[in-house]
Amino acid sequence: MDEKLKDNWCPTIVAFLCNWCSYAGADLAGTSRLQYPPSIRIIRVPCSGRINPQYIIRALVDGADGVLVSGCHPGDCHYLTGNMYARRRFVVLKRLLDICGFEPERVQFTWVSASEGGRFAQVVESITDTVRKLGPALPGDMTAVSESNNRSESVTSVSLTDFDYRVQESKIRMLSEELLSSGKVDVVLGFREDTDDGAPVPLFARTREDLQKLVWNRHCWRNLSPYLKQLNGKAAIIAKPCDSRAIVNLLVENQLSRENIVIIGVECNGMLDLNDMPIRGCEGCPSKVPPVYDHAVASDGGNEFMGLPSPADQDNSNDTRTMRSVHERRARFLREIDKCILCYTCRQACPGCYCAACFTDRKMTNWHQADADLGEKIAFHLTRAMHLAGRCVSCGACENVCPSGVNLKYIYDGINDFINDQYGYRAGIDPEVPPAMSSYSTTDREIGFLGGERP
Amino acid sequence: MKAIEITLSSFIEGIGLLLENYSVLAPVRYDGILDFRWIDDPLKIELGGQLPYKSPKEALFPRVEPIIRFEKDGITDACHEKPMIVVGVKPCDIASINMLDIIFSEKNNKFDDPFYKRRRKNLITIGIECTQKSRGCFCEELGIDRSFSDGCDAFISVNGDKLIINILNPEAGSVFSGFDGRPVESMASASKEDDHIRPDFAEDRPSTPQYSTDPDHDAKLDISADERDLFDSIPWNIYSESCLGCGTCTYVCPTCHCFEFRDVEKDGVVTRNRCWDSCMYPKFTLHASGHNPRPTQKERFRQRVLHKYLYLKRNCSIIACTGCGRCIRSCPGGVNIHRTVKDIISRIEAQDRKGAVE
Amino acid sequence: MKGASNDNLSKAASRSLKAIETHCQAYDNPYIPIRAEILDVIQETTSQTQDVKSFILRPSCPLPFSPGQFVEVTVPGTGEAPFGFASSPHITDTIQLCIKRTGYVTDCLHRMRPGDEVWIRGPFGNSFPVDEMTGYDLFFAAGGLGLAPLRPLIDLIFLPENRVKFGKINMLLAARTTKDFIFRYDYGRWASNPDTELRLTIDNPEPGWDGLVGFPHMLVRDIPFDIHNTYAILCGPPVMIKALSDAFSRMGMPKDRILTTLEMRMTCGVGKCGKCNIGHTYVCVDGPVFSVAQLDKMPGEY
Repeated sequence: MDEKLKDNWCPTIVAFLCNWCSYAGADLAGTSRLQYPPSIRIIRVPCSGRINPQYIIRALVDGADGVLVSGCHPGDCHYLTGNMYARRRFVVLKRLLDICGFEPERVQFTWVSASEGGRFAQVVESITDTVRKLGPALPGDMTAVSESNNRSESVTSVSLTDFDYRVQESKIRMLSEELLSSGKVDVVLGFREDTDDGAPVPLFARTREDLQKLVWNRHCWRNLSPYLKQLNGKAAIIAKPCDSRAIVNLLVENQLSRENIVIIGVECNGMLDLNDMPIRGCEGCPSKVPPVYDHAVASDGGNEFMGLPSPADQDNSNDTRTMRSVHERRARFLREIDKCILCYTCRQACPGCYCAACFTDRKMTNWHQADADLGEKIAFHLTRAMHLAGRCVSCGACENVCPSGVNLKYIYDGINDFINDQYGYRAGIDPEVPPAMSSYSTTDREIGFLGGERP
Repeated sequence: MKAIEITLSSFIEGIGLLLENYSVLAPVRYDGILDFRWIDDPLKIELGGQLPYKSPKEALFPRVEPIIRFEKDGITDACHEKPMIVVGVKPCDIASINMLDIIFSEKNNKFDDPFYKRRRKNLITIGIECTQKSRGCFCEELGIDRSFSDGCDAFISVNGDKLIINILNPEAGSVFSGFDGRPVESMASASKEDDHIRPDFAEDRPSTPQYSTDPDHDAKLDISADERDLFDSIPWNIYSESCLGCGTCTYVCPTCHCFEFRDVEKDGVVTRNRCWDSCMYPKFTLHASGHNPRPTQKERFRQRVLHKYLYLKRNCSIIACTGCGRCIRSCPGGVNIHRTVKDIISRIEAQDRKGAVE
Repeated sequence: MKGASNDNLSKAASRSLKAIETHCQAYDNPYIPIRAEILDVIQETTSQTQDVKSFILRPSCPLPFSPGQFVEVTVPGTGEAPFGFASSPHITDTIQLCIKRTGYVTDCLHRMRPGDEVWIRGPFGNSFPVDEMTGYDLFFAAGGLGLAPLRPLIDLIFLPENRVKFGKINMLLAARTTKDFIFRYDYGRWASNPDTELRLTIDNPEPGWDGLVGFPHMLVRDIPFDIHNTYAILCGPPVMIKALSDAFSRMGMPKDRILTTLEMRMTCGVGKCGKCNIGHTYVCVDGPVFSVAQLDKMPGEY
């Protein structure tokens, strides 16, 4: 390690260059005999739009000190629009790395055309210089990590009087009975009591007898939307706002068909754990009313939603903008990752993670070694965050189900807020609007790009 | 049998002295969650509380265990060798270690697992009696009571504000030589001061420990039926419908032991790791041809229950469940193996009655 | 990142090494493999849908085995997979494995050349009950790649000193098309044995094919053999095994004389990792050779 700190240490920078412009530009730099530091390892790709963010994440986790990505200038893409998708993707990736405390200067995006040999050499000089000043990358450096104080202590009392859960429960039962007995649905997906005094568990009610077990109370925090895909026939779901948002996202992605679901939308302003403390996952919930529903169950059991705020809304320690330094953000991220045992419960409980073959299972491209060391955990969570960018509906299931108490929702919320700020899109609101990450605009800002805007 | 009476603080100090030569796995609280972790600071140890959310099997069967390395000149050993101590093992986990001993031995399918054996020889277990039930515990139904200590090297009973370390294995006695306590007569049963204990444990404790693998002892949760009949006649669907296939149950379970080999290449050296795998994962039994004998969650949940309660009983006479309740507490879908097994037993009994009448 | 350099090797040497494997010490620990050099690679099938190759390996020390058993083959850095022996046990210095390219490990294996090295450990599993079978007629029925695990048994039985211990031998080898037959180089040798009949069949008629056409379970009715004095040994796709064993048992063959060999996903090969069990039976320890009578008592998760 000591030799890396010497003055003439040359960092290792992985460079993804698009074949048509940037690679040609690099070639031109070579044939023009322009000097630049031997720090870069070039990987040629057909288009910057082909670059999976996982390549960049893996490069950082596997020990690269820096990553450079370069494509054609917007408007000049050989495949017409590849770099436009890439632009949005990399802006979001850079923000993700920033939130997680990876020094943002280590990963640089830029555009170099085939005739810009000189510019290419400059770009390499610039990134090498920056990375050299930062020193070797130590993604697994735990020295800054310390134990946190338990955040939930900051939320004190909870008002129970605004909501009459019993009235809501009787309306839910009445609606379910009507839907099931009239044959409008084949199954009602709701909650029933747990035999071991835990929080209510999912109920798949197919008969009147099953429906007798239906309950609704302040402990019904589990997200029921992941079960919709496995049900045959028509299903009714008792949907809290978070479930309803998840359903909207699944509809946008064509994973569910609207005709087969009857949504009993229930108003909610936060669920409680077994000690009657607010559930972590509910903090920062973006909407207290279901965006899509067929039947409404408001806070007083009526048909008009009231949209009451929750006491947890005042707690903004989740807000990533309040964390100033990159070291603080890194320490927070690593402290949470340290607890993770890579059990993948968060992935299974997430309504947005429904891939039949998750990248962790694939062997033909061996994205994920089963090592469970810090590097693999970082790679998993960064990749999952990137896959959820613009798709996460902040339901909090990931935090609620994690057996180790890992709290990474702040990352997904941070990215969601960023995508909302930049592209005016938030998942789970409108089933008709296409997702932000699968579209582009010619006016997308190049935040954090080399030669672009400062973040 | 030797025993030492010692205060909690002296005990913690004694553990601190052992850190020089041993790796110590103990219950500590990290970010609010009580778990078994390898410690560097004995002051963080929390004894006698709730059950740590993961089990001590990490010492014998780690999440990721490098077992061998493929190098140019041959295969080298990658197995961990430093002596280990696990402290604060409650009776359910003590029983689980005994079960793992049998599972990884030649009593189960004829082969001894050499890597497990080596770790086991290097491990000293210090158990502690259970004074606090956790939600979902049902160890008594499997024949384990709160002073069960068979197989431990030392067992701590709580006597007011003092701890009594009963040294059950004389060879482990030297570990405690540096501890600042006074020798006492060992007590066959645990603390007498149980007024403050919750009503669940108010009943009389037997004077001899009960052993869940003892064929004479009747564990109340005993599934006795032909496995083919159970496959067809039990409605497995209703138990597993809310299962998400996350595998957390198998991770926190003290006796779950299914594993996989993953080869990792770094700097030209390939290390073979033995990693936890889970029968609840969809791809657990997936053939390369695409055929999967257990295609849905129903088959996988059935495998988990019957493996623990039936197959291991047939192959090596143990019911591989200690009733610790960890899987029940951590399941995101509310699947409950206790409820499932009780339901299965009552269905079998109903069928038997029907068969007897006919 | 990948690729050993001298720098890394010297670092490795300077750590304290405990070399476990030299030669036969490997047998003490069933997880430790031994080296095997690839001597030859034979392309078995020529069809485009199946890529099946035979690998002749020389293990670094003798690996005695019985027909029906299997080994776990490691391609370092890639992974490990189980394959049944495909050569007779009386050949002691080399072993043959017949491998279809299906996934990650087999893909890597298929790209290897003579001179490359793999690691193998075994043998695992049970074997065909050859002693019980003596005195009986034998009927071998194999579909496609299913012939591979039967080949050690076939070659062992066809040794002159063994052939006399058995009665008439019928062999029905099925394949989807003419391009899917494996071990073609053996058929002549097998058919030339005394009191032995070998028949080939494909699924659909092809120009220039004058052998049988049709599925094995339909064809067995027309093949003369003594149903009461025969051991049937079947291997192939599960559908074929089911249909054939049903056909045989309807014809009157007792189920404990119909043998087959199963395949399952495996990791350890020694009954510990929990992958290959069917009910309480572990395929890697109690199998992979089973009689249909045994299979009938097991739950249907295979």
